[in-house]
Amino acid sequence: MRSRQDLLSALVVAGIGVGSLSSALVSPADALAQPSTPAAGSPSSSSSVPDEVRALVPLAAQELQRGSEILFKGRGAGRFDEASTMLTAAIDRLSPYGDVLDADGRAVLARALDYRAQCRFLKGQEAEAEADFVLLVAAEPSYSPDPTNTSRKILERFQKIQTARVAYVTIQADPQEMEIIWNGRRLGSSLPPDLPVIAGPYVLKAKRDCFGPVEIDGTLGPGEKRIVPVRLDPVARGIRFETRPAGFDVELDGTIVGRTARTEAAQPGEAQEPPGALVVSCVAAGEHRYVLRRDCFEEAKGTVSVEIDFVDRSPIAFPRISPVRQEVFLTVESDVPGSLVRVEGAPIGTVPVKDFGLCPGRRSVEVRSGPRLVFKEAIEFKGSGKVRIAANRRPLLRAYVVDRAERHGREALDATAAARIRERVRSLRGFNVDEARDDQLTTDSKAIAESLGGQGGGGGDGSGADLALLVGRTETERGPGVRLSLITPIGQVETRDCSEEDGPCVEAFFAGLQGPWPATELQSGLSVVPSVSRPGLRVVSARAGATGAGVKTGDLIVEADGRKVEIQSDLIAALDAAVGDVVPVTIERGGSRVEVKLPVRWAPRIAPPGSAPVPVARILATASYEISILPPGEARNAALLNLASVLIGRGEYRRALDLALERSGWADGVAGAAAAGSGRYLAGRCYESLDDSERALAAYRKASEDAIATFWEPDGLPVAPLARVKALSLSPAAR
Amino acid sequence: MERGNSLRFVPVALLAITAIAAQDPGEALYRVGRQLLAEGKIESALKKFDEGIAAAPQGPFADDALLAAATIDYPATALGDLGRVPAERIERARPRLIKITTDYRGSDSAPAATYRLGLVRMDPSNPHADLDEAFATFLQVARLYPQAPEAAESMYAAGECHRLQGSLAASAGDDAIVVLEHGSSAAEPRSRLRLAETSAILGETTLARLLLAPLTGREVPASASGAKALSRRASALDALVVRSESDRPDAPGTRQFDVAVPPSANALKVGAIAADAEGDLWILDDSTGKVMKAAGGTGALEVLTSPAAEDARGIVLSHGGGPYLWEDRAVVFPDGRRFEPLGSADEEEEAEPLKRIAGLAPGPLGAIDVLDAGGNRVLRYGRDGALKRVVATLEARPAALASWAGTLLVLVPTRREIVIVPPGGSPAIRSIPLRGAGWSVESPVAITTDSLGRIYVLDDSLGTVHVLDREGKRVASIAPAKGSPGEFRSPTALAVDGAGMVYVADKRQARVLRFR
Repeated sequence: MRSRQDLLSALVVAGIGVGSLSSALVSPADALAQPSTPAAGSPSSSSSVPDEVRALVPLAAQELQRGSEILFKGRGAGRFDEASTMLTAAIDRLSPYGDVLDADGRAVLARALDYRAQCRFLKGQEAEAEADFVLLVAAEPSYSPDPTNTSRKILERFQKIQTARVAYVTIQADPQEMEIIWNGRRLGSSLPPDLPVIAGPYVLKAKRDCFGPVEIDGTLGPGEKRIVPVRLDPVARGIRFETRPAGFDVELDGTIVGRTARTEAAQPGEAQEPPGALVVSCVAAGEHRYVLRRDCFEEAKGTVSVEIDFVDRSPIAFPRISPVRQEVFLTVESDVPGSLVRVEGAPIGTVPVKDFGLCPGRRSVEVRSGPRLVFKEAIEFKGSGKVRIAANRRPLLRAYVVDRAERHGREALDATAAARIRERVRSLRGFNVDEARDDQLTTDSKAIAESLGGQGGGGGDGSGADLALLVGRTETERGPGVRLSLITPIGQVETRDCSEEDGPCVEAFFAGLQGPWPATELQSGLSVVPSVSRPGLRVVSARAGATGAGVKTGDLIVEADGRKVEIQSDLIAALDAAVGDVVPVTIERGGSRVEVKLPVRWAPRIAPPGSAPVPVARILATASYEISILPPGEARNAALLNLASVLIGRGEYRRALDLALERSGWADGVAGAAAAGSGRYLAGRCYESLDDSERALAAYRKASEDAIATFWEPDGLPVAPLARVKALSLSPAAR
Repeated sequence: MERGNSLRFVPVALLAITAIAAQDPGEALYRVGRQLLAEGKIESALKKFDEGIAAAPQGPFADDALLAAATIDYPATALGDLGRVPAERIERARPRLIKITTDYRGSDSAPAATYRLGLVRMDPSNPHADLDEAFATFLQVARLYPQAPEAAESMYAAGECHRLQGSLAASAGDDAIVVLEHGSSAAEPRSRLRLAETSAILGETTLARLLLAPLTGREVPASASGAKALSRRASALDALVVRSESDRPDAPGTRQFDVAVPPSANALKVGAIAADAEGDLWILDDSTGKVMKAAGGTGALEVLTSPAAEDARGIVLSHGGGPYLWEDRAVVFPDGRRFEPLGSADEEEEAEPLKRIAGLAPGPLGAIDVLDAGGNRVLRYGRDGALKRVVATLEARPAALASWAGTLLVLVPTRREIVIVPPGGSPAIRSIPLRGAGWSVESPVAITTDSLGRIYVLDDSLGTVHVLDREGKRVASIAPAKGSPGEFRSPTALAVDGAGMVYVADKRQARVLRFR
């Protein structure tokens, strides 16, 4: 399709100046020289032109150009037939669409008829020429031939025909902007006085948004001039919302209709932001609900009643609304010093972050130590005030739920079962959960295990998960079910098949996953068991710390940190979030409720190698994770020892050495079970089992030098003398 | 697959057997075997087990059947059971156990079978017994099946192998594994006690006392006799360690007279005495040849019906606590059986009865070492009474024999020395002289040891008990002044209990004097 500029060029080449064309096309709204942009609220007259018709106009314009060239070159040369043929082609192309043509199209059609009439006059075919002028006036009543290119005689003939067929109307519009359709032809929204129209019966239709349409009919005699008043009555009204500050989204009846824009420039030194306003035009009469929203501000909402005022049509001015600013002051602490905190992906500082201002809403809080994820959670911040997050290290659990196609022997779950599992995974506490897509499952569980964090003694790539959960479909005796596998760095540790009907089976798996993690177990001084008679945890023993806080044996703990507790892991979750602090606990005692503040401290705890009740997977995952993120010190030593203990318990001496005992970064000067001497002792134990007496002896001797190392609970036996005994047992004399 | 060593009665309906048989003949035969076993039809049961194994050698119950069959022949499950099964039954059980450990290594019967095989290889009744092999087998259990319940028992047994070989430190290493890594096992208290003892022997007395603390402080229910005895032994050992630390070589007064048993003099004719680890005193009444026991060392004397020997010359306690007596030519077992050892180790010569037995040392696995004063030898006899070997030959006439941790100590008065015979036997024999700077033993008549390996020598001419360390260095002495309540008038025998209490039998006073 040729552009409007192409068409102008064509007319210029044909010797028709833009100026002459403009004067010929008297419709000011549609003149080529004036963009035919309609007023707001009125559709463009050209916008209703079908595309196939619009495509004809450039072709007709070319034919007009060719015809006019032949006509003007051939003047006196007798080439009128040739020009007439070309012009007829243009006329035939456009005349069937006379009522729907836009201004450009009408201009081309009118000029083609004008030139063909002149050809016919010059050839002496006066009747045909006059017929063309009749058609021309019908197509464009306001058309005026170019007097410079048209002979006076022909001009007079035209004017005579035009005068006999044209009347003149002046439309007095109220309001001024409205769309006028005259006998089915769009005239636009802003019309000049004495607009030429075809005389005879007419139907005028007028319309405008927010106003009721009108239709007027009548008859005009040739040459008659008539004033036609057109008045539209309003049926809706605008509303002006003003807020301080600007920038509020305005929602009307559930639809966002705009945002309040600044009405004043910000003043230098002025703390308060400038106000803003939004005019919502054309709101129908009646009650409307509105809501004003902006991040960090209280939501403002209410109803507005729109009544039509036929006199005052200005928008309803709503009183200025100044919602209260809301801000949450976020404090983030972590047991991994130096970790970077990000909120919604943007860094806000390293821990501890204190009183970082934050707008309410659901925000993703992420804490990383280098590339390692320490903590990640989407947290709902509500209202104003201070919020404190203990972003303590948690293992990263990568969950693969196979739900599309079989992968590495795991059949796909159906959508319902997969959704149920995902829901349960998301509700896991104590982990940073990474939901992987099953198409990321490019390898089997053994390879997954090897990719988990801490593998190979170097901590992997530093960003891997600590353990993985692999869930797929299986067949059980009771029908289809799910196979849940927990994978740790030493392989698939726990697998459970549960039928789809057996919810408790799945729940038991996840509950086991969520139990206490010995390496990070918190010391509250409380031993509790779930009460059999009422929801809550019964205190079976309370030691120092807990007793100091006022907890007594026999108490029923019903809430911790504002949440109900029913099983141990509920309490552990509350303690986990309050290491080094206190956790508010609600106790029922003798029919009344007592609130106590339970202090929580962290103590590294080392599991003896092979200790039967130790949950292997948890220690392994936690320890390997902690090793990768903790700086040298007591906690890291403890994690190293826990990892070694698990591996030794499984008879994996070489890996215990590689992953833990011979790893660098053991902190010296740590007393107790986490002392380096304990590690040397276990190293000796491993070498001894690997029949490497020389290294074992060296390790035991080294351990015997650590005077402050003790073994794990419960005895706390000193390492040094036992290491001396072991060294003696390996000495050649003893053998 | 079934788990467990004991053969329990399993009520199985015949219909059920038939139904199972339709699916797995191995399992069905195994269950029938169990049923027959419960009914006491041993040979029939054995046959069914063998049929079951043959019918389904790869079946899930083949290992269970093998273990059940092996258990019929070799029911021993603990060190205390060793030496009780005849060699031919051991020979029948052994290949079955080996088959489980080789062909069914991954089965749930394997840990128990491997442990049992270790016992077989350690068993003195087994003609092929070998402590090194036994140790290796026990170690295999601990390494292959670290989570199995048998792992701790195996390490404990491995420690016992080391002890029998005289490797105390190595035994301590084994015990440390049990204590530190199998804290909740049944073997842990035993290992802990043994480790404490070894630590004290090796000079780690602080460690020893820390190890003992949970055992001595443990509240033991009256019904748990084994645990109670262990707790008493632990308390005694703790007291011994304390005593050993307070002993001073040049301060004889550190050991005080405590009490006389019986309190009044001339109440009985004391022949010989012995004291056990738990503090009980055993007295051989010379006039009746019967044995009396004073619980706790000072309680009322209880006369035992067995053993008894009119001509008994001495008394010694076995590892289990039962008294052995000996006469010039015979040994009387705790159950009253008499045994007259034959004396020649030379296969060419005809064996003759010993003529003068001067001492006896029962070994932990049922073997007995006999001091032949007539032939200046120490001879070792098996539980069956057969002479196993000559442990040591002496250059002069010996007078007394004591033992400690497999080491024999022979008193040779004429040379005023004690010959030390380590577990390994003759090549490492050495002697320690009974004299030192500022002290000497003039007339040694009796020797004994405490559980730390310290040597006690009774000198009747000086009226002194010398306490020597394992190298013969004097570390303490008991020399009651004349006229004092504990004075020696005619001391003839000596004993030390588990707590280090020293008992001296005084013939003239006809009572036993106890020193704390």
